[in-house]
Amino acid sequence: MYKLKWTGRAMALGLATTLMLAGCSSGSSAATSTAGDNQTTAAAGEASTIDGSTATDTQKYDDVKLKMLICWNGGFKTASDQYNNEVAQAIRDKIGVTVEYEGIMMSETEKLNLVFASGDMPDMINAPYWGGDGGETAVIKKAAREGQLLDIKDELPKYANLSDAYDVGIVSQAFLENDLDDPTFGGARYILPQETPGDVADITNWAYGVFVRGDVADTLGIDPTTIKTTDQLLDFMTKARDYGFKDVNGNDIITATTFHEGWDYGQYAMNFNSKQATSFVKQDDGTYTYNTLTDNWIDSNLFIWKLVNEGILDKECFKQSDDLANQKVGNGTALFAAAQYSTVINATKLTGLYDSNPEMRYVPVGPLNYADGEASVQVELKGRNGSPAIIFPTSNQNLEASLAYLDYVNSEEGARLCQYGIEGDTYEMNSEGQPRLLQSILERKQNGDTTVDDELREKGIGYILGRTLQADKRMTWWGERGAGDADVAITELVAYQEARPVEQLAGYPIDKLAQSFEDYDTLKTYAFDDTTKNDYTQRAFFADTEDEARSILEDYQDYLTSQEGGLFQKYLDYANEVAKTRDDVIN
Amino acid sequence: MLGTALTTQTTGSFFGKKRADLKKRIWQHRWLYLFILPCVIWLLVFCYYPMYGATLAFKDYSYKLGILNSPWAGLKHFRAFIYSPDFWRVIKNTLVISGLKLLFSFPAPILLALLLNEVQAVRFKRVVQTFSYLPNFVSWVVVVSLMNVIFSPYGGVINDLRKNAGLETIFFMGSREYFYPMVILSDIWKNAGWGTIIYLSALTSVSPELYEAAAIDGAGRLKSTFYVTLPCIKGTIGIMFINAVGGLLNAGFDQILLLQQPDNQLISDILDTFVLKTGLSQGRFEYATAIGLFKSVLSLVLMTLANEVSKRTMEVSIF
Repeated sequence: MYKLKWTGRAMALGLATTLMLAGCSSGSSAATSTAGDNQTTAAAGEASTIDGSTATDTQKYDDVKLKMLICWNGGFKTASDQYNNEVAQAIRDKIGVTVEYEGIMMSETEKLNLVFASGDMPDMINAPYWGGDGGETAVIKKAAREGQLLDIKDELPKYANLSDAYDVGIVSQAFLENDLDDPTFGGARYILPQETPGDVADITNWAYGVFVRGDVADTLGIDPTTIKTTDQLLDFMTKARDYGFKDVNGNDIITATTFHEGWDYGQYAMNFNSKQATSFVKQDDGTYTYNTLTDNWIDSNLFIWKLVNEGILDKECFKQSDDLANQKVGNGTALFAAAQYSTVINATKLTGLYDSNPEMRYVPVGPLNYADGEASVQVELKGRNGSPAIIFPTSNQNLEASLAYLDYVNSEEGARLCQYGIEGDTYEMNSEGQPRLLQSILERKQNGDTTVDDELREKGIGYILGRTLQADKRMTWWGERGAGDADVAITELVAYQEARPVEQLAGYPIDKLAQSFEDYDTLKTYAFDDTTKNDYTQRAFFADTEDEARSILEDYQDYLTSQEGGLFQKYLDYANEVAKTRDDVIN
Repeated sequence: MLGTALTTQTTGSFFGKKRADLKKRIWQHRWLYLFILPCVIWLLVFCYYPMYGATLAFKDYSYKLGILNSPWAGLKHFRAFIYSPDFWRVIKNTLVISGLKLLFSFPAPILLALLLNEVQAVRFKRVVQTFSYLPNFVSWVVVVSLMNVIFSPYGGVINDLRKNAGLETIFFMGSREYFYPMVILSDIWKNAGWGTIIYLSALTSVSPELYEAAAIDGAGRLKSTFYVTLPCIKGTIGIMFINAVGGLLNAGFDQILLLQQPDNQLISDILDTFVLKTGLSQGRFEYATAIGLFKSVLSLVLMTLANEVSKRTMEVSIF
């Protein structure tokens, strides 16, 4: 009898252990949910703010600690101690809130799914919210619809430096109607759009393009700024390939490369593009079709096939890491590189290429023209049409404190603290009343001393604003976007930004208009899925013959139009129908 | 009636006695059972408890409702997979890669173990064994990174040698025709050494008298291997074969994912990489679970078949 009891107890113990472990997870999610519910009903009305972008007069919290997930693949560098540093201390002294940031090293969509599926959510998340068919957008919208996010609609107006987040001009009308105020949200607002431009001058010019090692252009006697078309570029690259250049170590060269995962090989084919803000193309008869279904799309990809097939474009570039790309560019192994100009320049800083071999300085090619001969620009819509976004999961411990923190760092005073640190210690005000880094720091930056950024970061300087500024007004406020930009600006980068400027297009983008298509959710699972598209296009790049490459690309067009009983054609028909309802539609 | 009652009573007492015996034996060996307890708990918590998650394959998942409370969706995710244009391609790729591994990688440790068994110099044998085990501890990320460096068309050792010999460079890691050799050779390099452990331990159980008898009958080393060694370790080979067939649809997820390149995409997309791309990466957890469940059921069927084959041909089975 005793033995039986013992066995029974052992089994019961085992079962209890299993259930306890099982219970732990559901228990924690229940607790999270409760906390979230409390937050939803908590009043935030006590905080008062003053108008404008000066210091905000908020209530001071009692040492509230919050966590923000920076859901951007590639990690997020912060001070090693995010609580005990000058900036965190100063913010705490002002509003009593400290936010600790955590980056990720995986796909953004995957991470967001993991966060919401597991219930292991931080207080705030900053993630891409490009709107429309973006994978991250779909996850955030699903989380919002399923009650995983807090509604901030009634809270935002209470915070002067955040209250204009939904203003048309800061965000576009289309972004507002279709994504920020998604009809399925039922009137609630879950998204705080971030990194929106305060003014036209505040729009970031990413300076995308093709760049070539300076000595290559000199040796071949070609002025790279005269390269405007595909044929000219191909001729230039072919001559460079055949000349017999060596890299900084005397090794064989790669004619052209990109950065991670083929980013951004499309720059080589820029001459096939036209000035447009969406993936739709206006045809001669006035109707719209999808770019991927056109012959031009096939031709532009066949050009990349040609570059690969003729040994010009780096065969490894579609699967390579940024580290490998940095080596290739930093050692001058790649004669041409396509990406943002700053990325190329940064790669050379890692190796000190310009110090040892100043003649190898990468210079811009072109910029290449559009297909119609017009000079290419960086196209933007009036107001952002998609942006990074800050969202507040139901696990948020203190929504008021979260918004008070964001409001403060969005004030001129808070932003100055985050960007420049403490006055007298790291910056001083110039005669125009603008903050400027101390001369000693600027000199170190000018001399290429990269440790100065690490030292500033340890003080809490230089990383907070990138993921918390709602409307970026730094150019308007201080005449420079980054600390030291005005004094140590890279002249060739500035010149290139002027050569390929930002241009805002006015109008309502057709892809946003067509988002109301009734089967849009079904359509986007396959039609806007870049993974499948990349599988086909990159496979085409490695085809043995041009015919084979063309056939693979046509297969993708067939795939797109044949799925779900030809749903894509119905989508196109719908897009053309709704395009007639407005006279300001743009593609 | 009486007979039935008696039979029931007899049966009842028989099982009661057996149960009492079992408890008695458990109590006698209680310390050994205590040692097993952590493993049993691990198995329950990490292998059996998560199995309820398989129901996700039949549901439309909601973050808020969780797995258990999300609404049922029938077989729609299975249908979506089976009718997807990639279904047959992915199944074919998985089977081809697994089949090649079964053909080449499975016998590799047996062969290596037989060779090591014939080595008479003990110190040399130990050194070779140690070196052959080492690759097992290197992750696939490192292995593939090394391969990328060695086989790179831009400064890789192999291509430098080819260039010095006046030959064209070859993008080994990115060309379709080299994909299968790369998969199999790297798999053998990484796993064959470690795989010999189990066969070498089986070889130690072969009685030396059998070799002596075979030698008296005039058998050389090769004949001894075929007629003494292999028959003696066929039980171990059989068990390993059944396990290998059970894992046939696994094909080596991390290895294949890392070796994927645009040019080999058509032949390198296997079930697990497909799940990652079309399911997990896009948050379609239900779809990914449906494919996973499909794979598990198919693996079970294959394992049962392999068990039958092994039972009939090698007189070895696991159930």
